[in-house]
Amino acid sequence: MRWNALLFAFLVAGLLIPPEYSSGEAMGEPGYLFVEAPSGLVADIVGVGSYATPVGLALPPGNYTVRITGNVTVIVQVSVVAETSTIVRVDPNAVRDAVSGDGIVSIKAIFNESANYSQEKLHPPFDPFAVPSGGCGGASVYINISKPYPMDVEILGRNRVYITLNGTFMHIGDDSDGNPCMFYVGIFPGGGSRLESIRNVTYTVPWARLEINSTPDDLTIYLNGGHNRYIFYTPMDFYVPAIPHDVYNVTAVGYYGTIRIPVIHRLDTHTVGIADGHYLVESVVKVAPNETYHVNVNMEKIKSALTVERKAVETVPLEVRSEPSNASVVVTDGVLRAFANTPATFLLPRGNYTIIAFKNNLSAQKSVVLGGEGAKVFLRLIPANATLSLAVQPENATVLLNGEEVEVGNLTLSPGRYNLTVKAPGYITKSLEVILAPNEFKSIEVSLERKSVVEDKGIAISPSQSKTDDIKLEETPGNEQKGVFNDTQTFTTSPTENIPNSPSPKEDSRPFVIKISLLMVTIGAIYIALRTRR
Amino acid sequence: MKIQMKWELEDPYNLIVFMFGFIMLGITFFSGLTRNDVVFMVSGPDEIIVSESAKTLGLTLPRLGTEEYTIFALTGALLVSLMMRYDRDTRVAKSVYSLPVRNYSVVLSKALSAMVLLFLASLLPAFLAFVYIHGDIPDLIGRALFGEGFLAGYLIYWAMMVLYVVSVSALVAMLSPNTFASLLGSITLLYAPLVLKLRSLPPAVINEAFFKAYTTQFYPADRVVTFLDGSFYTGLLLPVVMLGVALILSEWRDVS
Repeated sequence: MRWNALLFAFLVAGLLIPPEYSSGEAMGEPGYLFVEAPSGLVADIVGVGSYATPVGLALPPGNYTVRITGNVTVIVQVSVVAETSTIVRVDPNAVRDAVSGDGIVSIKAIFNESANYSQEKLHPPFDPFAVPSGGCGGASVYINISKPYPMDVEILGRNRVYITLNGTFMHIGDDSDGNPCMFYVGIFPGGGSRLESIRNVTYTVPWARLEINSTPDDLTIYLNGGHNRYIFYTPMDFYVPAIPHDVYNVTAVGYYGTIRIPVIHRLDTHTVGIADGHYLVESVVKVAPNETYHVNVNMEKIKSALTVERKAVETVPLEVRSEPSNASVVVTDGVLRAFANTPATFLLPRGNYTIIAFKNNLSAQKSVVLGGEGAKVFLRLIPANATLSLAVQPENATVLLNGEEVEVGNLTLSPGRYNLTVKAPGYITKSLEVILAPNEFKSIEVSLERKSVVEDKGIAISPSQSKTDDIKLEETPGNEQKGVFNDTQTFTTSPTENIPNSPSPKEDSRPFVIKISLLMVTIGAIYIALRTRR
Repeated sequence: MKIQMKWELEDPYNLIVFMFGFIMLGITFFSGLTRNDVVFMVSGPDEIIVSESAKTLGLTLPRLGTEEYTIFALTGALLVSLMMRYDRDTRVAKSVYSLPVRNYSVVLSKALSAMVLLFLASLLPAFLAFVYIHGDIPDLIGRALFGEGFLAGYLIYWAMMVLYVVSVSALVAMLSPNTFASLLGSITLLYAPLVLKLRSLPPAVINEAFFKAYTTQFYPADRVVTFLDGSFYTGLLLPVVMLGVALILSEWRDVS
């Protein structure tokens, strides 16, 4: 027994040993992140800067988020590994072509290397769609929708899946006699939902039908950011709320009396996410009552339009010193860029590089061929200027250089790194980094893209439906959505009068009491049969 | 009855079957839990993520899918057949049943012993696998088991499954001429609903009642009542009747 206890203690102790994670690559060895996209786009590398594509950066190993904004937004979250090139290839137009359907107003494609958006099928020993037919109500199997308002799911059958909305009156199917099933819907985020039968209702939420398909089938669906692991795989149809405008003072008679809803807010957009592994494609669909909408995502096309590749890189050292020291240095071959302060040692692939160093109004530039065992460069900084010629579209756009507003035209500046931001009402803000070498004349044209209709109108859409909390949105739509957890769609007044003649909870539990009695009688009968027989 | 149960629980054959069930179910539960993959939401505040995770975690407590039920039924059938028929085949029963106790008392003690062993052989590995997979998530297990009222329903779930398997096997054992027939008959009857996809018999009916109770009801007490209500006839009443008939048969039949 003692040995058993010791063995058990040994096994338990084994569970307590924390797993040892690899500490990763040695610090100081940079990794390389390349973003290859059609020219004219801007890749925002969160925490690093915004750069015109194509661009390559020498970065400390770690996780980075690349965001390419437009009417198709592409977000890529990748790990940069030391001595390795991570090449992100993006074609936003191909992403747009891969998503088809009606009513789609914006598209977002996400590749997240550290996430698996697919929810595997559990193959439970029951059929989630097997709902007894006949009366009102169905199966509610949780959907984690909290934005813009808490929602749940009510299943009446394979093709009758209703997305219910908190604090509203809804018509969810009919009973076997053809009478409409009217409910007051209460949803407890994280706790499920409650449907209360109502009558004399003055307004029920209209439905729109969403038909979601993908190539291939069986991809995980996220509706308004939530998913249900048991059910939601393509192809799948839903009935979703379609409320074209705010509705005021809605009433119905419920179990405890009259329910009054002061306002039911507009809800005419839904976000349909379709996921496969690291990929998630979110389409915002604008819906109108009693209409049917289709969303079809060709995931194979998405996967070819958005790729991440890794290649080992052989690097050699490039030592840079300057006079005066502690100057900012940029080493670039046109695409790849590396940044440091002097004295610095860069580890870079062999090739031809331009080194630009600057400090206050002093600067220097030198070209170097990096090969063999590396190179050493010494730069003496001298006073110099550079000229930046700016042209923007639309013409009324505001231009910010390192956060300060400047006039469009020719600007005489000290050489160095500048953050250029161009913004205009109704357009998507663009921000990019500009490097000016000594005595350089650089001409930059920035044309802004119009915001999509939905963003422009400020319709309630979740600004961050994806797992990209660390991404700073340059243009958060000025929507009306509220905080979520305590944000019910509406609130009701306290019950007043007219308590209807509904069956009491005691009556509901009667059959179960009868069942328990039946069990007791059975056990008693068996006992008597055993006792009486000799 | 207590002494008879002790005999059965210390019997090496029974313990070997218990170990078989424990290890095989443990492996199946473990592989089932690791297959579930990561659960997360694309969006939502942390409070919801924690709450939803706890709930989903509660629903992913190991239960009896097809693979698990196969091992579970086999373990139950083996235990009951060995306990109730093997001693009759080897004539040991002649001395056991000659004790000054009623036959049904001996059979009942054997059935209870089988229930205890089968319950432990399924519940312990289920918890071990669950804790091993999810034990590193702070508070989540506590919330899943206690906060959401899963523990009571989960224990009832296993008790019901155990009762069903043992009662079917006990009835077959009482009707069978020998251990082999008892084993074959029990496995056939236990496995038939699965092969024929009968959703009105266990394990499907108990599984569905559990799932439905914990997804449609909000309060723990409602969940337990709904679960019992949904699985009453075939999960509770039928096994009790079958066990009762087995006990009555034990009084009628010869010991050998």
